[in-house]
Amino acid sequence: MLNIHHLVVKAGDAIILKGIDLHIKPGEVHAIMGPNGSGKSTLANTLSGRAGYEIVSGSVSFQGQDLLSLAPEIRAREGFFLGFQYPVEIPGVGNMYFLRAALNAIRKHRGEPEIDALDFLTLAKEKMKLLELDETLTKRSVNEGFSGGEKKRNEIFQMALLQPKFALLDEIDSGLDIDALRIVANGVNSLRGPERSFLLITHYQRLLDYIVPDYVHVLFHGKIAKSGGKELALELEEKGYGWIEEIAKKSGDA
Amino acid sequence: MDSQAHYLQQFANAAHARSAEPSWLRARREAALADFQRLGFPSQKLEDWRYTNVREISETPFVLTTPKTVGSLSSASREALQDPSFDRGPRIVFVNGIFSAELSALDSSPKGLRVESLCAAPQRDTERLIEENLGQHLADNLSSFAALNTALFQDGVFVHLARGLVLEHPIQILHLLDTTLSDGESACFSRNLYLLEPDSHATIVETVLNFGDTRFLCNAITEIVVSRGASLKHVVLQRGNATSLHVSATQVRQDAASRFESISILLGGKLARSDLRSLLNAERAECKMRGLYAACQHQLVDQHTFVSHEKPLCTSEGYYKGILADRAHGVFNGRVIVQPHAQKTSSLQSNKNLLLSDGAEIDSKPELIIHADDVKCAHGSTTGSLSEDSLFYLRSRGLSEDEAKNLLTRAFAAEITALLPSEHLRHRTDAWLTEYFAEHFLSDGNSNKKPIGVTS
Amino acid sequence: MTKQRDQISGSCATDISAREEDSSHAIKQLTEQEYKYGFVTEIEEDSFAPGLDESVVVRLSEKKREPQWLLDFRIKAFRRWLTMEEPRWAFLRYPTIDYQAASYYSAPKKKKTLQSLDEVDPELIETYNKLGISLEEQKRLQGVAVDAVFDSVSVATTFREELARQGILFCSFSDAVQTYPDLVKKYLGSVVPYSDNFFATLNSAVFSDGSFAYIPKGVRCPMELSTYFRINAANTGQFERTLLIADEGGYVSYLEGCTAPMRDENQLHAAVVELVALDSAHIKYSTVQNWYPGNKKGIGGIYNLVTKRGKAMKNAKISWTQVETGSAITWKYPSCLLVGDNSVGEFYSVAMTNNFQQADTGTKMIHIGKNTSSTIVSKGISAGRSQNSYRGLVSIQQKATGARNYSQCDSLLLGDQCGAHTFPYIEVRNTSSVVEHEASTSKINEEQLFYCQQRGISIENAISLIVNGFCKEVLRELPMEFAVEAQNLLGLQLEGTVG
Repeated sequence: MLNIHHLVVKAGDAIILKGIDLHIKPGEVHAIMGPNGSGKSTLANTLSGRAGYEIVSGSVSFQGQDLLSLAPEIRAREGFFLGFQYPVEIPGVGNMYFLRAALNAIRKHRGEPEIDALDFLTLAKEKMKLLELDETLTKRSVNEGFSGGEKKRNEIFQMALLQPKFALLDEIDSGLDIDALRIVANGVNSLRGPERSFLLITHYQRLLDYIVPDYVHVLFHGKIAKSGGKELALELEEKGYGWIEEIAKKSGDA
Repeated sequence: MDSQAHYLQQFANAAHARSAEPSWLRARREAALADFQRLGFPSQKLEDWRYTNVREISETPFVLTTPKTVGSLSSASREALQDPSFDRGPRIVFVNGIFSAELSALDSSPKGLRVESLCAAPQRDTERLIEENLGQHLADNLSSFAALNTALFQDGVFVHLARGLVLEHPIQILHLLDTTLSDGESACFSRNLYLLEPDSHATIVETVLNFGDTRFLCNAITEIVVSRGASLKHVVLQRGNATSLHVSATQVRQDAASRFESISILLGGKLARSDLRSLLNAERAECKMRGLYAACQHQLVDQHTFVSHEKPLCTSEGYYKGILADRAHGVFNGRVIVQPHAQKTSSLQSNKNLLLSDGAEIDSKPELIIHADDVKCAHGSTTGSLSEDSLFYLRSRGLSEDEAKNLLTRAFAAEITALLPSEHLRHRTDAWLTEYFAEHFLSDGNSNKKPIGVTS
Repeated sequence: MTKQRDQISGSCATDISAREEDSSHAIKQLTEQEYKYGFVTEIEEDSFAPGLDESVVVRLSEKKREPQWLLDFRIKAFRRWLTMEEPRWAFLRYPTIDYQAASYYSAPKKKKTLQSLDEVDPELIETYNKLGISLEEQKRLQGVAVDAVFDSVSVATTFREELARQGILFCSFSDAVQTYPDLVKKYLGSVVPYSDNFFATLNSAVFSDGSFAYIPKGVRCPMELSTYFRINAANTGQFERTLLIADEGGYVSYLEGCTAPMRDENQLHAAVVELVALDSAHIKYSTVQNWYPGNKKGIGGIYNLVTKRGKAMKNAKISWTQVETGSAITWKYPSCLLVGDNSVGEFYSVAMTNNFQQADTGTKMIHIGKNTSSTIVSKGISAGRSQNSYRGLVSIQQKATGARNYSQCDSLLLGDQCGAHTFPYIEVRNTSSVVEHEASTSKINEEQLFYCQQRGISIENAISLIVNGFCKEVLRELPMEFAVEAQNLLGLQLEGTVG
């Protein structure tokens, strides 16, 4: 599904990602953990096509295509979804209108007919229940005046509607209380399936109690310092990132 | 005699005072006089003078002030000199616009610092600097007052900071405008030039005080150059009275990564007009202009600011507050221009006004003129009276209505006065304000006359 | 388009400059839409030769068989105008207008007095059909009555009879002069005096036609009234005059639309609109201004120099909503004189300029009565090499105690060659009033663009969405029919019916 080959990325004058390799197969859930400044967000931004990052070397293929050569909206239409760490507010643009425009752009790209307003509303309401979102949300502008938790639930709600093939969720757990985290996790879990893959970026192990990953990777100083199963997250929680620093040093020496 | 002819005469009368001046200066004065003859005083048809009528200035045949002996100073003036903030750092004092060596204290100036009378300086080594800068930074449209000033200025302050010099104590400039010393309605024209070489830093505190009850015009033009990496904090404390007329303009030129910060307190005056302009002439310059203007009775305070973003990545901030009582008239005009290609500009302006009486008037005009797209610019202006809720809250805690008003008004002012660089200046300003607005809140006789402590 | 952009992105991956190129390209696509109403109607016109002197004013009045008092009004205005100077304080640069070069009267030739709409020249009916304005009542959307003004005269007014049954008078200005002279005489110049300003004074001297409406006491006008202005003839100045009176407790929503052919010469349009809202009346006046803006090089286009003002008496309300997308030059400040206690004024404006267009527009809210309130929401969008200025006055007079004003002026810049300027004038003279003004200027938010793109929305549509959202507070004030037109004009998609 997604193959990252020795990706080196520069932001401003600094090299942030120093050679990332990652292979995600259909149906797999991967988690990337790491301390602040390790390059987690740079990875998310680079993969989704945000401006301001320079690819120094390496490649990323997504379903056999060169992901990095695609415009951000084409990536989205091909089924690449980014759940934002800080979803932006767009005043005056209705949430439902926005989503229907997005869904229809994606459907058109796939050669499917556009969905009409009524069918869309039915679909949207169904998905909103899943995320326990209030119906007033349909009347509001995109993320405008949403609480932190509402913004995050809105991201997952959008994911549920757009049905991507691959979802990269950037710190989807940050700023959530335990109830909101449970709701978000339920939303994500309900979308898991043999054809859909996830990459979770998180700082804390807590999220992974709710969304159990198949693989955990630790990002440190722009490199994946260690990979393992879900138990790696628990080990990290116990030993802290200092432990990884040791490992990183050793692998650097070797 | 019309005003043009009158000032032509004043110019001729002062010929002997100029006889020792270098030829370049004489030429500039003559050219400026011709400009003034052509322009005359500004009319309200000019957008920049839309709300301010200068008829009282143009119709009064003011006579230029002459040097006075210190012995004849009024007791009020003497008292002002006792202010402890004048004890440290260099101090330069002018009496009715004329330099007083006797009252000044310039011996303690650190190496690399020049603080002196502008008119004394041209005969010495600084002449070249003055020639290069004097009148060279003024925008064309600074009105005919600038032209008149160039033609007639009697003296002023020359400040020069050598590269890298960081001053520990503020430079104190004191202007005593004391009509008890002058014969009839008189005028002074002062001209100041502050040059900060790269990476130098200074605080300059200018105090302008009016005494006496004869009509007096003070026209001051200040040109400031803040070179690359240098920073200047410029504090102006001006207290006018019912017969004082002030028209002052300050033009700043800022080079790369320089900082200019202005804090001004403009308190009263029959007419007090202040123009503060900064040209952000190179990248990453920062400009902060903040001030308080206040007036009561039939007085007028008019604060104009203008920041021109000429190059990318500069930031500017403007914050002015006004308090108007009785039939006073306040004018605020804050203009920001972002020139083409001055991308990544950030500019914020805010103006807040408090009206204390129904006859008072405020005309507020914040302006944005933007020719580049990658900018973040905003301005806001609010006008109102003291919040009823706040007044009620204070009264419910036992304060009288006047005390509550006094407290809230001073709290409104405190947001600006708190920016003053020393405790002493804050107290002095607060005392001025209390005295100035005393009649408004403490006039019912039964009120506690003691000022209420404000937090600052 | 998509393909080309993909290549741009592909060549330098996610490089910043590519993204900026991307969005600027999209902005270009959006803002370079052709003017759709630029055709010329071939119709025989009866026109005055170019030139302006007192005899033209007299002939104009004769042609319209006007009463003496109206001729006197015109002459007084004309003599005053001769003494006035064209104002130059606005942020507008254009050559001096040659007032002698224009013709001051031009009208489609008609054979006889019209008895019904069936007798309107089919060419004209066709013209309005092309503009999307059907003059045939059975084809009209229910609920909108139209007065169609073609060059200097009104050619048709629909639903006149139906409205008359409720006592609502709606007809061309010329008709009103003949049929309701007392009302016209009473209110003409009562809000915009003949001597008001250079352009209004010129209009007072040479106005040709326009619309007139009177809503009687307590009547709520059951349909939207509208005037559709069309300049067709070359070298013609258009000077319409609109007078709207809502008697005590009356309500009317009035719409105004305008278009003109593409011509290389600049054409002058100097209209005057006067609104009178008597006690407790409410007038809602909406404009979608789409005069020909000139071509991409700045050649041609209408000079739109308009005076619009309403007077609100006790408890009355006047709301101005405007969407200004056309004209080479726009000089326009729809204003409210809040004379009566508790009266309310509103101004909602979207002004979009592109290419070499220049707009200097805003409002004046003059608070005279007690407890009056006003709201100003202005959204400016500048693109190309255009200059877009907001200029507004809020004046709270000493006796207007308890007055309130809230103003918000936001500008959006699309491209680095254009300008966006804000000139608010705030004058307050009493202590019990509260005035708040806020303004901001910025370019389109890159974060918002990226968010939309990440959801699969193309950058062009993303810009449309965001600009639309930016204008929403104003667009939602428009009546439905106009909202659709406005959205098309802005090249935007308005938020759908969902949600």
